[in-house]
Amino acid sequence: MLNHKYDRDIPSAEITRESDYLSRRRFLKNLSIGAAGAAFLAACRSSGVTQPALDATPGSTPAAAYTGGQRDELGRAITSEQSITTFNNYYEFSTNKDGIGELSRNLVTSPWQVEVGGLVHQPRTFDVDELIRLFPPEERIYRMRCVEGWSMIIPWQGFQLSKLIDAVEPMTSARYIHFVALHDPVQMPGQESDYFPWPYEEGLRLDEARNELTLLSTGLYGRPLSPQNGAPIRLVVPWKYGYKSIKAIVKIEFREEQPATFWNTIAPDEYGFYSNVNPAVDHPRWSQNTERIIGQPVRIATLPFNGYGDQVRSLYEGMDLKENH
Amino acid sequence: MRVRHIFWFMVIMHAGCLIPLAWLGAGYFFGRLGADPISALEQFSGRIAISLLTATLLVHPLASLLKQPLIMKARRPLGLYTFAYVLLHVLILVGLDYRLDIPLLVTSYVDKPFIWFGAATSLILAALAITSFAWWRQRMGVWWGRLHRLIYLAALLDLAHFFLVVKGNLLSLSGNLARPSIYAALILLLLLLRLPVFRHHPCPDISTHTDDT
Repeated sequence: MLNHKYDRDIPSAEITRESDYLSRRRFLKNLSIGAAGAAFLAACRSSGVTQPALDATPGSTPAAAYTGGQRDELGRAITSEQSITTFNNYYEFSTNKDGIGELSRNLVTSPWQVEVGGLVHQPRTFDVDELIRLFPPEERIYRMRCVEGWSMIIPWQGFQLSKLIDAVEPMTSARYIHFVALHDPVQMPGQESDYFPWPYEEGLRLDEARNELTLLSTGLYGRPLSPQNGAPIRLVVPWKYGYKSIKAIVKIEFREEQPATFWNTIAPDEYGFYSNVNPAVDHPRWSQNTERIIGQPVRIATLPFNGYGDQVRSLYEGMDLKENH
Repeated sequence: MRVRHIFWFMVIMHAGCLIPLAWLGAGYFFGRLGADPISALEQFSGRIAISLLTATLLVHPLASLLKQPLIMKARRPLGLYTFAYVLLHVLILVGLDYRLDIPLLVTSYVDKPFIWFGAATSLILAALAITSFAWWRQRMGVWWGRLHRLIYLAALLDLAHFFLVVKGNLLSLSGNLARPSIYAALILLLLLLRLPVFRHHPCPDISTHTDDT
């Protein structure tokens, strides 16, 4: 009955048009074309990716052009850049969403290095500029569903995490990836709070990390990421609650054991390791059945896996998603 | 403190209670409440409500401490303003956020403890607001005072509501607990002041002279 009500409440603009549905098929196709980058990666491997900086042309940071996509594959209009850059959850700076932009303005994001190591054959520290040259950014319009019950549709630029994973050649024992964000209380005043287990850390199972949807983002709306959005490089995992998409990454480590994650450490019952968007599994303290898209006043039904079920459902086959929330 | 002073004290009190409302209303209608104005309204009205509830509890100890019984005149209006903001808080949730979709509200919140703590707070404050008129006070006699002592229970329930609605974990003292912790410290202090040990002046609106502080 509820669902019926929702169907009626969805503005006509939100209903997927056939053309959008078709473009979604194209989008999926494009994703697989993205795998053409594999050829490039193969080249990397053969030439020894340990020194890709030598291959990359210095000083030519490709502009991640925003191609002007206005809707996601479900036909939902993208959120305004103004909202995306002024409404941020980034406790490293403040718990006040609209104060992050100002507080983070002077964060030094260049030069910036990301240490990639652990159970890999080719551990390396990459400069972010170098990553952008090695893995040219592509555009992905993704829904971002926050555990607090709001969502945005964001035109990211970035590259598939799988490309970086292939480049460093994980060992067969690697089953998880651990991500660590910058820990610098001088630049990030929120980290002076003892209420939180700094630094921010996150984790994915290796197959989740390799999924074609999982992105390392360096830009949005065609501009390099602003500090408040996770500059210079952040994770984007669109079928999981927003807090999984860790910002300002300095370390990526391949592991055999499941890594600790920031919110799971704080409240294990409330924030599971998987944190897949799931309207059927409430946060113990609030419901997850609906959400409000920022900029729109009406609540809509939250979709399982945030609407990316076709691409990710198989990752969790046979798993109890309530148990493994 | 003279009557003239208490007049200005009351003017400042009323202004202090109404300015947030004006600020919220203007912010909403001129689109100055950020990217998610409905959440901003919900959270802001809730914070004002618990602030005013704390202020209401503060009146009696303050009057005792300063030996200014006239300050007691502020207690009833502060209590009523508290209830007004609680009502606003509820109306924003039900009317603006959920667009009067009661079935959805029920399925979303029926099993969530924070909503029940909030609802209990609202009901107590409603009862106190309704019976705050002199007519009721005369009618109820000794029961009026007993009923109105429930404001302390309301304050504790409101604290529980606040702690449950923020992200974090009270047991491990981690998460977004700074704000509710400040209110908890204040409210618990004010509750402590109600213990007999600290109560030299059970009725400061009558007794003004003291030399045993």
